[in-house]
Amino acid sequence: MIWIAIAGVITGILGAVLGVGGGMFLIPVLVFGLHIPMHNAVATSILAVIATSSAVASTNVERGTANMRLGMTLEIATTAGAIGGGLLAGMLSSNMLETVFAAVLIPTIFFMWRGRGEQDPDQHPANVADSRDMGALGGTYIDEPTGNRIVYRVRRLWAGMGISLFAGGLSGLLGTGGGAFHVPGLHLACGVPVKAAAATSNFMIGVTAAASAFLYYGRGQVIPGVTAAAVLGVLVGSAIGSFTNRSLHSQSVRKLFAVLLAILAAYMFYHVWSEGGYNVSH
Amino acid sequence: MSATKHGDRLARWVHWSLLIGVLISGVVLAAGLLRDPTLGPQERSGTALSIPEVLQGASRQEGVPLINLGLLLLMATPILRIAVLGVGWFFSGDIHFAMVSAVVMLLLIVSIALGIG
Repeated sequence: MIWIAIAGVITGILGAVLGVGGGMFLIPVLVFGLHIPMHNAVATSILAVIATSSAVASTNVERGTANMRLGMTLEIATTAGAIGGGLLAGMLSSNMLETVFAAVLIPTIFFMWRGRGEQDPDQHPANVADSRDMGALGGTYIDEPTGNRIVYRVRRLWAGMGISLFAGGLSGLLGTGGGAFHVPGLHLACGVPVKAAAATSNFMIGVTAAASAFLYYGRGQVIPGVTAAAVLGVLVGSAIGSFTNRSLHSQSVRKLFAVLLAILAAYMFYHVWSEGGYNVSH
Repeated sequence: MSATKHGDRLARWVHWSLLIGVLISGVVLAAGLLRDPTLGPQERSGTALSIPEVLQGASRQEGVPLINLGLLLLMATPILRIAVLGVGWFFSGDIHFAMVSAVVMLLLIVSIALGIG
């Protein structure tokens, strides 16, 4: 049990330092390190995602970086996607779910290596000068390092809905937060500044994960003790991670994590296709 | 009350609803683990406890029902957040976003019905 809690703590720290959900790390550790079946690992990860999202979002909402109107609007798409993903997961074998998970790791590795553009000077393409021009879904927040007030308008809501449907589907299917796709998507397609996109994505993912969590719970795929230890570990890890200095180490940690994910993805493909892989049916 | 002040107040309500939900569920989960420290990877799931079973077991301070109660409270925390925002927007006259909240809530009710209904 202690190893599960430790895996949760590391997941929480990674989530806080890298600004991503830790499902991509937690699930392989549970499956390969602790021999927990894939569907149960996904269920554990979904509950851990709800815990981290709720804890982190409470801070982002108070700071004003999470755009609650945009988040609630996009949650229509993410929750619909999560229900679809959660139902689909119930029909797939563990092998198939592992294969999909490993395949999704590949673009995640790319985004992780490249970063999400926090350091880009032109990270606010949709800035408008006046808060009266930001529309119903736009937002405003104070950029802490510079002290500047950032005002932005949301473009191409339809694209944001499509990206959110996809991210929600991945969350329900694989138990990940989906932030690796959602944040660059909201930034590039909708013009939301990276910080606001990350905070809004995090704000949304708790609701998204809850939408599929009930499906996993109802199917009896939540292992109580394992999930409780992981959730508590993740909460402790998030608290520890929030005290670390993200600006000092996030680039190198991100690249190291990308390499680790690449190794995990290769191992998962190897595992599925070698000698039958896991024969655990859900 | 100005829109900004109302927005700030709503953000505080959301902040506290999320924080309280996480804290309560965390305490209940920890209590469940302490009641039954033998739980671990050797457990295998298969049957979900119904809500009456969870409540009855939790009232007897049994480990697994307590953990299940903590997990259900954790799952309910984002739902509470939607309710807080929906009600807040409704009373501030922001009917459009109150309706959006209602649609999201409806989707979650569908999920609950499919899962544990």
